[in-house]
Amino acid sequence: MESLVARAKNDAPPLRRSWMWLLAFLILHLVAISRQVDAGGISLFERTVFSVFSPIQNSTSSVADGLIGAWHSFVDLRDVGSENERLKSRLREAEMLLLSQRAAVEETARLRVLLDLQPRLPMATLLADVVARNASPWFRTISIDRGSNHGVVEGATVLSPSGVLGRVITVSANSATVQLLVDRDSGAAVITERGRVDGIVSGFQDEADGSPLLLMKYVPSLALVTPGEVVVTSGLDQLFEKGLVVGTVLRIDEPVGLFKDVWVRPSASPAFAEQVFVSLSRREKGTVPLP
Amino acid sequence: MRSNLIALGLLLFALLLQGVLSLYIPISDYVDLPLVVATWFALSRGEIPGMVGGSLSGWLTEALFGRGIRGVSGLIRLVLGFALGLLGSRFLITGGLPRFVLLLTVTVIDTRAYEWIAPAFGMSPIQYSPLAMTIRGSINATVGLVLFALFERRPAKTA
Repeated sequence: MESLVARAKNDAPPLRRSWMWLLAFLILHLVAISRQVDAGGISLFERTVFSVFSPIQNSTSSVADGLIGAWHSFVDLRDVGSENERLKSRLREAEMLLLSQRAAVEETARLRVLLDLQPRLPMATLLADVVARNASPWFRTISIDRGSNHGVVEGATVLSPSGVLGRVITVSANSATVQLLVDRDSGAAVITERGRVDGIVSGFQDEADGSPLLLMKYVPSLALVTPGEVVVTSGLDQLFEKGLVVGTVLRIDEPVGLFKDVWVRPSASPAFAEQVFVSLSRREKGTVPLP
Repeated sequence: MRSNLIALGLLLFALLLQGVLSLYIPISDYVDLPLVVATWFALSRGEIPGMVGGSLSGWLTEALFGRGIRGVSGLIRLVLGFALGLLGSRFLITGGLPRFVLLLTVTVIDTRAYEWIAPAFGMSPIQYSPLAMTIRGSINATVGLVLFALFERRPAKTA
């Protein structure tokens, strides 16, 4: 391969002419430099070069920045995958921890309410955990983790902090089944707190939203019952202690014959009960106040 | 003519590259790409193109990156380009060692000449110590050797 260096020799101009050119260029340079000394400022040549090169320099710099940025991104991305997995794992652990701590906080609050309430109940009670709920739509029962070994007896009243939940129907050594007040086959003698109107409540479902309601039956047509009135146990049935909060009057149906139906919203929601009180002995004391 | 244009293009590219690389690494302290291109141009094309190339290299560098009076570097490289063109047109300098020595010498002369002349025009250029000058010249010569090899890879197609 013929190199440029080798070929340049064939095109070499006569030496004398070259020296003339050098002299001319030298004079030109010196004049150009001298003019700057006299004039100062920025020459036309400089302005031209700068205006031509600046956009190119900017573009080149942008491209270089882009390339370097892309390279850095590529290098950074190499570790992102494993870091992402590690962070996800830590996030899952943190979420689990948070959930368990939140549950612990809620449980603590619940227990505090129960412990505050227990001394004010009109009877000796035992705290029990709800361990199961009957999922069948036909029965409204719950299971608790206390049984005959703990002093639980059949027929014992079961309460939540809000009011009466139901009564124990089956007892084993270490557990018991509670029939809720909202069960269709349940029943309790009640009385309205203000009007002192007697009746019997049993479980029903709200036709509108399917939520559990209580139907207070055998209320005289002329009896004065108003919505919002508190309904408590009367104790006449010998099943529930007297004065326990059952619920509040929701609405009153038009009288049919001698009686009218009164719908009561239960104050104790079995759906959210996690700890309940089970009565151990009767102790008449009056109405249990709502917390 | 075409090879002259290519050489001019290379010179402009070297200027741009030097400017861009200077943003990220202190390349200007060790390498003078326009000088390397001008040297190669002078050696390969002879004294008159060498003069023009050297002069352009100096002027453009000063116009873009210089301050104060412009043209000192152009003047120095005009003379250097002429000398290198003379040298290249009368001797075949193709070996690695001669080229290295030549590039080292050119770098040292260019730098020292600027350090010597620029104060006469009220400028105060960086004064390189002998060691720093040697390092700068060696690195520039090494880069020059690599670039020379690249430039001469396809001369038949471009000439």
